[in-house]
Amino acid sequence: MNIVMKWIHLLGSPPYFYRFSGKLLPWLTVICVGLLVWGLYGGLVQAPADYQQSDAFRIIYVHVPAAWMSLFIYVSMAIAGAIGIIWHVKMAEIVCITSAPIGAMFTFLALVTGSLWGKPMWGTWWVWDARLTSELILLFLYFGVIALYRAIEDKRMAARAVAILALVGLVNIPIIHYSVEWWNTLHQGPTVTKFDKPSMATSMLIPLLVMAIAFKVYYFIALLLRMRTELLQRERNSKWVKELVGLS
Amino acid sequence: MGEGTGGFVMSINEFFNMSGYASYVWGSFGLAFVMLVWQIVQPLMEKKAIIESILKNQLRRRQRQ
Amino acid sequence: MNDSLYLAFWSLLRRDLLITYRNRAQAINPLLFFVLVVILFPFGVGPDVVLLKTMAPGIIWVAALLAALLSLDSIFRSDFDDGFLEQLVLSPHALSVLVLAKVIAHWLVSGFPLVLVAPLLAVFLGMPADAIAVLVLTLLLGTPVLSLIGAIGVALTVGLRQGGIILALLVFPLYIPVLIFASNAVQMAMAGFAVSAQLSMLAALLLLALALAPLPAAAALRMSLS
Repeated sequence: MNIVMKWIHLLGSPPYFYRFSGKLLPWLTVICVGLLVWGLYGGLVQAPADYQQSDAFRIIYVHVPAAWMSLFIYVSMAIAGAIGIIWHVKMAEIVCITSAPIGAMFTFLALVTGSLWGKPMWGTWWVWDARLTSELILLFLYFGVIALYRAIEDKRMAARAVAILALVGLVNIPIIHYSVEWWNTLHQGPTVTKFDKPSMATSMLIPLLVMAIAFKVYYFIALLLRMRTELLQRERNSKWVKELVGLS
Repeated sequence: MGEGTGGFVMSINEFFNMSGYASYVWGSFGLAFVMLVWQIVQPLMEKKAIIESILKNQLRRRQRQ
Repeated sequence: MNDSLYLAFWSLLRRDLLITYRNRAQAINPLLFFVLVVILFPFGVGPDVVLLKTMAPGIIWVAALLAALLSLDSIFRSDFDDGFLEQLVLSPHALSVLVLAKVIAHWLVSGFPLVLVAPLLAVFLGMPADAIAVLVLTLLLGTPVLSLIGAIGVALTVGLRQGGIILALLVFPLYIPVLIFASNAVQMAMAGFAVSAQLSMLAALLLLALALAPLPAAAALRMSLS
């Protein structure tokens, strides 16, 4: 227990974190690429075509993991923000703000792939389906976070503002989701269930789970890369950065 | 491509055709690929720019001395 | 101690109302904006009575959202500029309670007038009388939520030069549940259905916002002033 705490404490020091994450990244990349290859082969080649949607259903292997990630990253962002505010952990603040662009990307990806899936299935690019609509609102929540961070010049203050906003958003997400779902069923009837597959064959499900894990590892990689860049920028005048770039 | 688990044989052409949904399926995966790669490349480029600007600043300071 | 907090709450509320009363010419602007936005719609979609009637709940509520956004800035702006806000933050009282007083004062002068004017606009758009009653009820329950959520957004952006457009970006997504339940309640009332479910959802949102929103707003104010 003590050793774990000590190590977590060590991770809070920028030079140690920078070195440690540098060692971790190649391994993570290998794992991520391996999982992606496995998931894509399973999803695009091995899984049989859906009996209703034929091969178009294969979009599920990007759409659903991306949609899961969009929510997962928002929650992680808000939790990191809370830790940053309550215990004044600088590293948590950095996790909070560097997560935002990655989460926005996954949300955008979920929206576009949902639209690309919807075109052959529904016949139009956009339907005010509950899931797509919630995803659209989530994208704007991300945009708000990013815009607020960019607008505040003092980055330490900006990180705190973003953490507060992310927490407010976190409380609101279930409310928004519930209200949009309610609104959608009232206006359209619960007919649009094409994305929900109550019973999926195992050969279809396993690639989906593999892709979901691959995306999680990817998020971790992208997050570490952004954190490292952010640390370099923030600590550009410190001794360890100067040593790192070959000055001393 | 080889034999699928369903016991059917899939040719390369069939694989790329996606039974007529090629533009939607490959569009989705292509976009995902581009965005995922961009999200990796962008911080790396930013990092390079930061290191270069640190070095440049240092050089200027030394020349002034 | 509790008594003094109570006193601070009321005197702050009174002070804010008094200040608005002295500048009453400015306080009317959001109201005029609200009316104007609604009046624009017949020009945009044509004077079709049936169409306007079906769209009326949505039009009035979207206009209310825009008017609320426009007026939000005044919750903290002048107090931020003249330094009064810093004194509030430094005062021994719970900042969230003081924020609540300011938000209530703000709603009384900018949200409540919308509720009073809305029936007139509803008549313009051809809404039947019993639906107008529901509209007023939804505005009474909904506009305070707009002020409460908006206060968080303003507290986050009060120190910024280009806070206005960012404020819209922060606040509008959070307004969507209110818009959904409120305009749906009016639509259903026009179609002759019971609307107690929607109204109780709005009431729940109001209670939730009353209990929770002042906390992040206070935290954001502290951040903006540090």
